[in-house]
Amino acid sequence: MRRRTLRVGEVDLDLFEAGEGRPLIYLHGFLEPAGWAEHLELLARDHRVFAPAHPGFAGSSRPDWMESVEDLAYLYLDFIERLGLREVRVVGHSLGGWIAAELAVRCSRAIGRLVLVDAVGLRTLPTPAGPAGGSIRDWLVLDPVTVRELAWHDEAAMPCPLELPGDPGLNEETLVRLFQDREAASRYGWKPFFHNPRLAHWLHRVGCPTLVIWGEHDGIVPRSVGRAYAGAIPDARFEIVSAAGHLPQLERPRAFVDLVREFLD
Amino acid sequence: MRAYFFSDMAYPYVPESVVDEVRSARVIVPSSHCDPVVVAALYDQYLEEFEYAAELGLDLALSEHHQSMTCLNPASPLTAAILARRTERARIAFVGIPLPIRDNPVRVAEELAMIDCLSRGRIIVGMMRGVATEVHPGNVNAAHTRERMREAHDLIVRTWTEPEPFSWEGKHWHFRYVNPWPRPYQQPHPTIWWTGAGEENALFAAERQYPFAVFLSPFDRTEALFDAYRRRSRELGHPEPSPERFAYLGMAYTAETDAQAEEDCKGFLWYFDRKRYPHFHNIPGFAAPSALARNFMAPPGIGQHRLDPGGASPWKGGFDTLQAGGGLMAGSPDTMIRKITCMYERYRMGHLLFMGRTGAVPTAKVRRSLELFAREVYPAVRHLGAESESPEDALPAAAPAPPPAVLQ
Repeated sequence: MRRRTLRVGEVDLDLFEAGEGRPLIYLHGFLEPAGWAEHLELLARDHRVFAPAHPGFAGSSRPDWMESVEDLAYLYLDFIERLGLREVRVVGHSLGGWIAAELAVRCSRAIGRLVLVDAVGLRTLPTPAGPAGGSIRDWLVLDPVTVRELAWHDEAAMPCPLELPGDPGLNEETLVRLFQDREAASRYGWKPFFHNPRLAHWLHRVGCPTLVIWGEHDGIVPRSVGRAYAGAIPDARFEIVSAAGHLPQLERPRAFVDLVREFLD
Repeated sequence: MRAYFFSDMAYPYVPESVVDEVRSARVIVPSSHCDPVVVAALYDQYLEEFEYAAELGLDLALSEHHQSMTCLNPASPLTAAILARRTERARIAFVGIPLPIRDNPVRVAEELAMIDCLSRGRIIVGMMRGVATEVHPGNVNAAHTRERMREAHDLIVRTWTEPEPFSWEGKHWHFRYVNPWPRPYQQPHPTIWWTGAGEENALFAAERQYPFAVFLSPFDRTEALFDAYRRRSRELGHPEPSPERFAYLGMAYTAETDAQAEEDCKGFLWYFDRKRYPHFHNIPGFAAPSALARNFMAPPGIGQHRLDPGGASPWKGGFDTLQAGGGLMAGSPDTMIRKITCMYERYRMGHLLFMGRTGAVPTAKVRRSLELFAREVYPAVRHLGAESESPEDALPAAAPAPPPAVLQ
């Protein structure tokens, strides 16, 4: 794996990449740290994997004006053109899934296969009552214990811990990184809270085969969002990863990669 | 020195078990625990306390918070409008208007211009970013609060001062026609104060040459902020700022004896003894990531929004810590004169805003405290800083003018 900074338009994109083969872009979500992880290592066995940090995440720079998921969609379209990638596979988790969907409706020819994993971007439920936020849970404000309950199927079995503000004993460097990431996420998704009310009306434009993957126990983004994506995208199927929550790629990396591989091959 | 009676207009009757359960005194305390019949009686009581303070010759200062049992004053311009009609001479200071969460700054300018006319120029408009918890009821992106504060400020001032209709094309607000009726009574615009707890606010206030107000901040911190203002002011070549440029808000309670005062105002501790849910107070984007990280690492102390997941009180030492840090002055009239003089010598402030009521302290005690302050303390401290009053700092005359000729 190598990490480099690539100038794309007005953005210095912080990029992790590894592997050989068909190009695959992995767009990270808001609760996982941007960077490299086991599921990417597994995908890199037969793909050239690009894993950018969205501007503002992982300490990367963000142009002042760049504050919407629409901007990120155009950024990654620029990225695809800049590297001359063809038949690129785009895998997006959570916030990254929303970006991937916005990208796909803007230029359906740009991508060969699309995978949405516990993606935000749509609002499906009537807004629930209670202190935990709207239909997408207010992970920015919930305490770490509650976030873990909602995000994990089985925290005890997690191969890697999820660090959250409010956890005891975090060092300053970790806390700064967490707050940088959260500030960046807020800029892209504060209002409406991590969805675009118009997106559902354009999903018919997604022209490539699409796989929608949902963790069986995702308490952050309701499964109905996944069903809505799969229902609105013309050539889409929906798969559940059992014994996983909001982050199946972290909780069950091998099962996750098996599903993705089978779809991409 | 001018003295302003400040009341947070609290609702101190929510069972502790409820607050313990939601772990916050703000944003999510269910409003089912707010009894409107009690609120109606509290409004009478609080407004009458304000009116009594004005009768005693004090000025008035208003709080504003949203979705909070600590403050039944989410629409502070309404309160100010009532007080404008019910008082004749008191200045009415907003401390302040949380600009970022207002949807429409032109509307803010209109409302305030109206109250300025109603009061014949008695309002002081404290502008502020507001505390972090306000972004939740306002649902304003915390990362935008600074820029919204600045843009709203610029738009409001221009709305008050531009003699012709104008258009506004900013980042957060767009208007094709801005042309307020009425325009403000004070010319060129109502007195503006800038309020805040951070140095950036002190510097901004100095750059604009606005009076700068800080709230419930310990001695060292307050001195540092006022010093930063004075330094910046000198750097920009302005005359040395007079005391009228500085306002401090602390709790104050006067009684016949020191012991009585300390006993009576124990109820004020209610204000601090509340749960602060750390994830509402440390919302990402409101402060730099390094500052938020430090909040989570810092030990509890005076004036910090302390933030362990249980939500500890920021003035953990309680009564003694508050007294030692300048957050609370309590005592007999002689003691109060000594304490205020001592505070003046440190701060050189021209405005003392005193929280003279919070929590469930009985209104009779609050009124007695106001009487003692107004009759025995205020006359002995009124002269402090007054010798340096400069014409540009002077507030407009409060006496009602005769009807203009057009109405006769």
